[in-house]
Amino acid sequence: MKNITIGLILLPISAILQSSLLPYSDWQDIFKLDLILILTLTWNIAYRNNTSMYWALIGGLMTDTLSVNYFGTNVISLLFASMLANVVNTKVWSNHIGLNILTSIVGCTVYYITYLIVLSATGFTINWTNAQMIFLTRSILVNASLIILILPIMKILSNTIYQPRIKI
Amino acid sequence: MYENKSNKNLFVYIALILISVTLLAMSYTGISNPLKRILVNILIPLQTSIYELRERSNNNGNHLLSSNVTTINATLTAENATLKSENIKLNEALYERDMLAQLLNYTKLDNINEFITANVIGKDSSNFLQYIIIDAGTTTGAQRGMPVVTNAGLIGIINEATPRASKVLLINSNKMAINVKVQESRADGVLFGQASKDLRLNYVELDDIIESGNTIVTSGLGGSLPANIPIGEIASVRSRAYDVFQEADVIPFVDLNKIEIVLIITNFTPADLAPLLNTQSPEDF
Repeated sequence: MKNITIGLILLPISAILQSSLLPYSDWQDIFKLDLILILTLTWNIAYRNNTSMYWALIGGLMTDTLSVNYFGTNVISLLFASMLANVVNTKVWSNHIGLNILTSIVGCTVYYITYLIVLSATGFTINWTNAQMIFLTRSILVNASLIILILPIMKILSNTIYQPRIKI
Repeated sequence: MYENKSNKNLFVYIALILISVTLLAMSYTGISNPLKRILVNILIPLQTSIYELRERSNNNGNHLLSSNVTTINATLTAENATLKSENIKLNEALYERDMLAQLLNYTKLDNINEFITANVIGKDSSNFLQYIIIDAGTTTGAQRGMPVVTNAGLIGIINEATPRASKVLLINSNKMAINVKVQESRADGVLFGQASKDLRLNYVELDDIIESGNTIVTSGLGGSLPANIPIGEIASVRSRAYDVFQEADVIPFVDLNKIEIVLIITNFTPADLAPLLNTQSPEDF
């Protein structure tokens, strides 16, 4: 429950910041930060319980509300990315830094590819040009790097609110 | 025990995916619009507060002075837009005078645009779509389909209007296609937004003369926008003998990345051509 409460506070604020503040900073054109993706994916990597999936639902709803794409587009995309992170984080070797880097890169890729496919399927024109691919690659790398940077903080937060039971 | 947990996880995954697919289907058919409107009404006041905070911090705390300046700026912007619109109309009137000399008994009703001012309070949360969110909604007179301009020219069309805010589809969105004409040569064409956020003029016949520096204005064809709103100027032309049409890159008059105050043209209603397109042709009788 604490997990969902934190999501309900953090994600709407992030969605508003992403829509109201980030676009007006000079560096957003270069870095293309996606706060909701970063927070949702990081939480799904850090939080060792499948209820972290609800962050994808909350974050996706918030992003879709402030976007003109159809309701559900971001929810589906974030769910697929979060599912991937959830599958990985239940394993014993989930704390390996190499695996975390790989999960964040693949998670961001899954998110963007799903998002563009759903956009395309719902009538938006997506030009798969070189410029678009460069933009996409840059977005994946920047957001994945930030996930790795804030992952230790999210792990500390997740350990304080959720301690898995061990049965001997 | 482990198997039970795996089954539970799988159940959560499937349930969430089913919810999201249902949401998407409901949104596609318009059923979920009330839900989206409720969420927008919750988030817009927060977004407006963030906008005001940003404005205050930009003005270094000199809020009283900046509030006056903002009001005066909005008024001047509206006046400037009216003058610019009249200027374009005068240029058009000159052309029309010549045309009228040849076509006797021709009259044309011409309306001066009416505007309401709105602040830009946000941009689309997706990095792939070119939309802005403004703080004028249906309660202040904004409606879907209304053109949105600045003193420099057209910036887009209202795509979605809620009581307190509206979403504007920008002209450089790759979902946008506008019927335009080149003011100097009267050549018709269609202006498309690009994924790279540039504008491209297409479907200009090879016989028409277009060159760098020519002004692009809306033609009014199709009825979705009023005629003679300035959009931009031609940067370069691609005209090859073996092509069917000429192409040109267009630089918009408005810097679409730095829009703060916009004007909505409220006295224009987009024409609904659907009934006309479904009319039977004489051969059908």
